[in-house]
Parts: sequence; C-alpha cells; structure tokens
Amino acid sequence: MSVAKKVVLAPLDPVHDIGLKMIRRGLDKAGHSTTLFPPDYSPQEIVNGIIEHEADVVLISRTLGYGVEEILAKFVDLVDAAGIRDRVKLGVGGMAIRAELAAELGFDEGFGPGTPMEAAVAFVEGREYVPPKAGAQRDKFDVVGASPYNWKNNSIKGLLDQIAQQIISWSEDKSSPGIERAKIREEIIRLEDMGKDASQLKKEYASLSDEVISDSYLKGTIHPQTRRLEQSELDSLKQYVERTQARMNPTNVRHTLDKPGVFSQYGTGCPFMDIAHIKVAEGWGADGVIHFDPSWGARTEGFMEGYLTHQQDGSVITPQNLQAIKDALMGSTLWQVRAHRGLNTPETVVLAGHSGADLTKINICYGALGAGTEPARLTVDGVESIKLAAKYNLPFDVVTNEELCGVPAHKAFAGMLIVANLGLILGAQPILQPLFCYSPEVMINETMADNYIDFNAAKILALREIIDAPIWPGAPIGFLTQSEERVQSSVSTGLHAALAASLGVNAISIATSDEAYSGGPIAAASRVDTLKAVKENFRFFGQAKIEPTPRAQQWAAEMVTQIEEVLRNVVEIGDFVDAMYKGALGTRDEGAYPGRAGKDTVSGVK
Amino acid sequence: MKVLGIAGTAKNTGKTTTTVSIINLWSRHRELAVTSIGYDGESRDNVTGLPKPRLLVPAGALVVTASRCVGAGSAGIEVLTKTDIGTPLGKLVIGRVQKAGLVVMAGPNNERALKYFIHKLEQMGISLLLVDGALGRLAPMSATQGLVLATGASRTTDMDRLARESSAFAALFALPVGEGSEPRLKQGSLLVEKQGEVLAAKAANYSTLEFSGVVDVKPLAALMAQLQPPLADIVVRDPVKLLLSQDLVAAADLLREYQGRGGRVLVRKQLPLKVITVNPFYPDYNEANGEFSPAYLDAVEVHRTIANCVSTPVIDVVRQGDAELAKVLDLQ
Repeated sequence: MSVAKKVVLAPLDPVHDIGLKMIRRGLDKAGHSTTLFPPDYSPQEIVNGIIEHEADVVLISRTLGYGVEEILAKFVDLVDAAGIRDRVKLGVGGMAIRAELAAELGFDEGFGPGTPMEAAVAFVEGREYVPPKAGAQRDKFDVVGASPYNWKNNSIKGLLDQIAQQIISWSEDKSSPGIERAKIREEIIRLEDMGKDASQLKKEYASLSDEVISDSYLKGTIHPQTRRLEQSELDSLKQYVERTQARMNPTNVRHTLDKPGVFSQYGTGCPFMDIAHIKVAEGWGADGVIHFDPSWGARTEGFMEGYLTHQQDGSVITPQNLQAIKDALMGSTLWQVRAHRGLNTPETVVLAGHSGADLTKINICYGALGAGTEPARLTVDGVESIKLAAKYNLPFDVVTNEELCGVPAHKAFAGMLIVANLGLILGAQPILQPLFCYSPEVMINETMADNYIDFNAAKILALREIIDAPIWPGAPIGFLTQSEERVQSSVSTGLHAALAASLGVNAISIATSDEAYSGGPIAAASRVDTLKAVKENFRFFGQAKIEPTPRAQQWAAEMVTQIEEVLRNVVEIGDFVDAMYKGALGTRDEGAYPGRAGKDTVSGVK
Repeated sequence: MKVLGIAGTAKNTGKTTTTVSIINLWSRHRELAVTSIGYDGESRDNVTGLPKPRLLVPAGALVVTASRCVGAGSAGIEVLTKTDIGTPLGKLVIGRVQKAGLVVMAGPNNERALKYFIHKLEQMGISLLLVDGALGRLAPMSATQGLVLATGASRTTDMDRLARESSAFAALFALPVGEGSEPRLKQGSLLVEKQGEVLAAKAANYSTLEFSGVVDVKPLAALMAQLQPPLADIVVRDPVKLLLSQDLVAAADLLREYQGRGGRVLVRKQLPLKVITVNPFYPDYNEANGEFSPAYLDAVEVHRTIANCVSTPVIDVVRQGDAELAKVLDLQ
C-alpha cells in the first residue's frame, strides 16, 4: 500500500451518507485515516474542517437537483480561494454524478452510482483506477462441463443402442445432395485456403442446389429477399466493432453461481445489425449467442456466398456472413450456429466448424416431424452431421422444439435421447435441450395450472434419472409464458432462469422481452431487459433453491416410464424412419407431421 | 498577453455565448487560446437537459482541454503538449485547432493549474487567452487579468434581487488596492463564526488584519462587530476571496457599513470587472412533470435594471451584438 492518507468524508447533503460510510470502511481497511463529517455542515464548515484536519483527500457525497451543483461548485471554489486546493484532492460521488459534471464543478474525480470501492481507494492513493475488463479476462463458458455421460437406466440405454445400430447400418450406404454439398464445401474451403481456384467445384455445387442458389453461382443473381452488403458498409462495420469493443465492459450475470451459461439468440437478417445485437448481449452479460437463419434456408438446397443481408427475419448462412460475425465476437463469447432441421444440415456443421463456432444444433426428430424435412433425408443427413460435429469438435444440442407443435414431452424426449445416443456412439458431445415452455401439451393436461415449476422440474428430473448429461433448457426458456408486455415478459424469463439455475442445468437460452410477440424486429433494449431480469433473479436466489411440489417427482417417474414405452415401440417397428412416419415419436393428431422437403433425394452411395 | 475570464453568476447566464462572441471578435486566430475552468461544450445542459450553445473555435487557435475531450467535438485538434495535470476527463493537453469546429473543453480546475497554462501559453506566443467559467465558479479566475461577468434571469428571476446582487458584485470588485498599515496580523481563511470571535479578541493590538485565504461574510460580521476604533484595515488577496460569501448582498452591505464607520477594506491585487453581460433566459422548472423548459424575462428591463445600479458597462450580447462588446473590451 502507498503512504496512509488523511481522508475527510463529507456528506454535503441533509440525509445521504450511506455511500460515504461504505467507502469509509473500505478506506479504513486499506489503512487510511478517515474522518466522517456530520451531514449538516455548510461548505464553509467543511472547508474549515479540512484545514483543521490537514486532510489530503476529501470525498463529498451529494444527490443532485437543480441548484445543488452550485453548492458543490461553491465548495470547490472555497477550497481554492482558501489556498489549500494544491494540497487537497477533491472527489464527489452520488446519483447523477458523471465525469463531465465533476469536471464542470471543478472536482478531481466524479463517482457515479455503482462505483466500485477499489476506484475510490485508487483515487485516495493517487493511483489510476483500471476497471477490470470482464470480457477480456473471462474464459469461455464450458457448457458441456465434466459431464460423464453415464447412463443410469440400462433398460432405456439398451433400447437406444438397438435403435442407433439400426440407424447407422441403414444410413451406411446412403447419401443425399446435402451430404454431397458438404463434402464439396470442405474441398472448396481447402482449395481457397491454399489460394487455389475452386470455380469448377462451385459449378458442381450449383448442380446439387435449388435454382435460386445455383443461379447465384452460375449467373451471379441472388435470392430476391437478399442484398449484397457494400464495401462501405463492411468498412463501417469494422469501425463500429472496434469502437464498440473499446468501450465495452461486460457485466457478469451469474452472481455467485457457476452455471447456467446464458445464451441469447440473434437473427435480424442483417449481419451488421446482428453484430450490434451481439454486442448488446455481450455487454449485458450473455455467455453465448445463437445464430438464427431464415426458415426458407432450411427448405432450400444449397447456400449462397458473399456478405448478404436479408430483408426478413433470420440471417442467411454464407461462409462470409459467418466469418464477419465470428470476427466481431468477443474472445469469450460462445457461438452456436444451428444446423438442426433442414436440407443444409451437414454443410452448416462444416461452415460452423470452419468459421470457428463453438456449438451447433442437430435434432433429426424435430427437423423431420416439426420443421418440414422429409424423415429419411434428415436421418441420412443427421447421421452425417453428427459425424461432422464430432470431426469439428462441435458439441451440439438436441432441442425438442416439437413440444411446441403439441408433441408430448415424453415422445419428444424419446426422440432427443435417440439422437443424443447416436451422437455418443459416433463420438460427438450431445447436450440435452428440453423446452421450458407452456406447450400445448401442458395447456391440455393442465400440468402448469398451479405453477410453472413442477412440470419443468419434472423434465429435468426425468432426464437425470436416465443419463448424466449436460442439459440446456431452451429455446427460449419460458416460451409461451411471455406476453407482449415487457415487464411481464422479463419477469417470466428471469424466474424461469432462476428455476433452471436451481435445478443445476448447464445453460439456458433466453428470449428478448419483445420476442414472443414482437411481430417484427427485436429491439436492443428488450435484449437488455431480459438479461437484466436474469441477472436480478440470479442475484436474488444466489445459491438458494426453488422447491417444487411432490408432483414434480411423480411426473418425472411417469415420464421415464413413458419414454421407455415410446422407445420400445420404435424398436418394435424395427426402422427409425418408419417409426417417425408411423407416429411413434409424435402423431399427426399431436401436431407431428413428417416433412416433405427433400423427399426422394436419398440415394445410394456414389 | 491579455487573460480574460468569463464567469457566470449561475448556470445558463450566457458565459458560453459571451465567449463565442469574443472569439468571433478576435481575428488573430493563431494568437488566440481558449480554455475552461469547468466543462464546456455539452450540447445539452448537464442538469436541465436544455440545449446549450457550444464552443465553436476557429482554425489556428490553441485550446487547453482534457485528453478525453480531444476527439469529442467536431473540431480537428492536434495535440502539441501533454501535461500531468489531471481532471475527471483525463490529463490536460494543449492542442492546436486544425479544422474549425466545436470543442469540448474541460480545462484547469484551480487557480494554480490555470497560472501554469497562462505561463505556458504566453511562451507560445498567445496574445489573448479566454478562460470560460463554470457554474458560478470564480476562484480560479484570480489568475486572470480581468473579468467578464455573465448574469441574468437564470441566477434569479427576482429583478430587484438581481439588481442588488449585481451592484454588490461591482462594489466588491471596486475595492481599492492597498497593504494596510503596520503592525499586522496575518491569517489564513475566515470561514466559521467562531473564528471571527477568536480573532476579534486578538485584534486590538494590530492596525491591519490580513487574510491570505477566503473570507466569509458571517465570521467577518462577527469580527467587525467586535472591532473598536481606530478600526483596523482588513486586507484580502483579491476581490474573489470575498465573493464566495454565502450572501453577496450581505457582504457588500457589511463592507459599506464598515467603511461608514471609518474602516478600510483593501485588496492586495485588483481584478478588474470589465463588463457585465446580461441574459434574460432561464430554465423554468415544472413541478408537475419534473422537466425544465426555456423561459425569458423582459430583456430590455433586465438590462436597464442592472445598468442603473452599476458603473461597469452592461451589455446584452444577443440583443446588442458583438460590436458593443468589442468596444468595451478593447478587442480588434
């Protein structure tokens, strides 16, 4: 420590001196000698006291209103005119105090709300205070953690293994345009990385793509809803990122918790706007961001190239768009590029891997039953994608979005476990992503009539009875509990986050406060809303737990039994694709419709 | 080198408008330097949120401002000299304006630091330094050679009080220069009433009571009340040391009364009050919605009321224009 200072703390304020009392404690601890003046001193009395105490440093606290700043200025003037200004350092703190105002008033430093103790101590000791850069020092959050992937229900494990063997051997001699394009894409990247010409390969790629995509390679046209970003836009994007990054000091939302990691999703259509949203998410403490692509992207064979902005929701996946986004990320930010549901699933994993993504998303059952891709096609592509995810070391979540279509959780979970086990057998790292949502099934069965806790807790408990695996509720948590009202929406997200934390899950995805009902672009402020709501909930609960009622355990037990029944049924049908068509993993009545995109495109291996 | 301070009796009394006018009047831009003892250049008032005039500085002029303000305005500034003198917005630098534009200014915030820059700028060939004031702050202005005082409705909308305050202000600036007679008792500051009483008890043996620091009206009144003829000379360093009293009008009345009893109040160094500028604008506070809105007193009446009670020239810069100001300040 530097030489001990004599510090006078004076509340130039009729009532408020709590802040000063706290700072005093910090200064005393640091070995300085402090004197706290009573709150009713006039500026003249304070100056007189400073002279009598021979103070080195004076800290004034004051809440601000019109006219008050003149009292503060007068105080500084008195110190100056008394001839002691050279010997005394003056700091001012309080609500509404900013550096500009402190300068205007003639103080040496201003301390606004939330100033860390360390800043005040540094000021007293004459050191420059360097705020910790949370983002720069933070490590990437580890979603998978030390998950052992221990199966705890051998009966279910046995069924899953039979299903996995059937899927693997069925798909062994099959391919698809999606798989072929993924292979070509890997080769294009390899050639272009070496500075070689890949135009011949791109023609071949075009021949495996839908017309709107192949035209972009052969004729230079692009999808009608997209536009190429201009060089000037890319230049200003780069400047924007540099400027923003320099000012950022990301907050930590987790308080005393080790987990869950917090993910925020983006997909405005414009990579530039996406990056702005990512910066907001990072700044307000998100651990990771999730790339949302347009829904037509999942139903169209092939990806375009170039920096493309899209006029509607969802940001187009191209190698260049992904690179631009990757370049803008803070080093500690986890980045998920979703491959889960469409005709470009294998290639998405390739692009995610090559552009430095940390995570991807694959779920054959949801993609085939809830997102419109033909089951056989997505099974072939899904197996390949999982292999690629293992190759590029990308853990992937298996999201049960079909719950939103009305498929009961136990059927969606059976599908999720099939894909997860396939992942483990193929050497990948699957993450279970059950929804925390007010799904149609929940509405019909009234399992959330009293509270949102029991049924969500039951899902986690059920999965834990089957396997020790990383769990990442999504997508986003509290889905369909949120309304168009920002406060309600934020509170709901925050409480679902608290429940997730209480259940000890690894990560969560959160919505923005306007997301569920925005009907249009997401506002950056609404992203801040929910991140702050989550932070406040984590602060509120800390290590304390939320206690579900005994119903949670009952439902969990029922769910495990039901999951086993579903899997037994799939095994009895004998063919995974056939089982999907026959409704074993969700019937049409339940809202599960086998998709048609990519129908009849599965071929024997060339 | 001329060093002009532009002080305001309150926020929004027109300091910056006056500063901008003087800048416009001074054609030798390479010999001009501008700084602020506070923070200037915000587009909106830090407290009321109302729009404020910003400092437009011509190319060639020098500015003294904090490092974090250098890139903040629209002016292009080349930093010539860095110093170790700190402010809440970074360390102070001297820069040359390469491209005319708005300058965000946070300069030296105390008398000693201002003196340092006066010395430095003189060496750099500056012939006029303008020191923009801050929020009614006056103490650093002791280092200047003359003062422009901006006052008006923002100080008080009570016209009568405005007149009495302006008159008191002018009276304090008009105090004669002198050392006082021997023997003398030297003191630092006179801040609290008890000090006045303690000093009165010792004062009988001295012909002069000299203060190197600040003198407040309350302890001064307590002191003067005890003093018996022959009354001692009261000596302060400069008028500013008496100007920081809680009640300026009471201070002027007290001095007049002391002079009436035959006593003398002297300053070691004069600080000429060159001109008083008046501004009828004030931010009107609406209790109902907690917002401020712009409001004005009658400009002609404000001017006449103040001009009637001081001998210092009084100018409404906005109404009367720059020419009048140029004449009074002897600028070309």
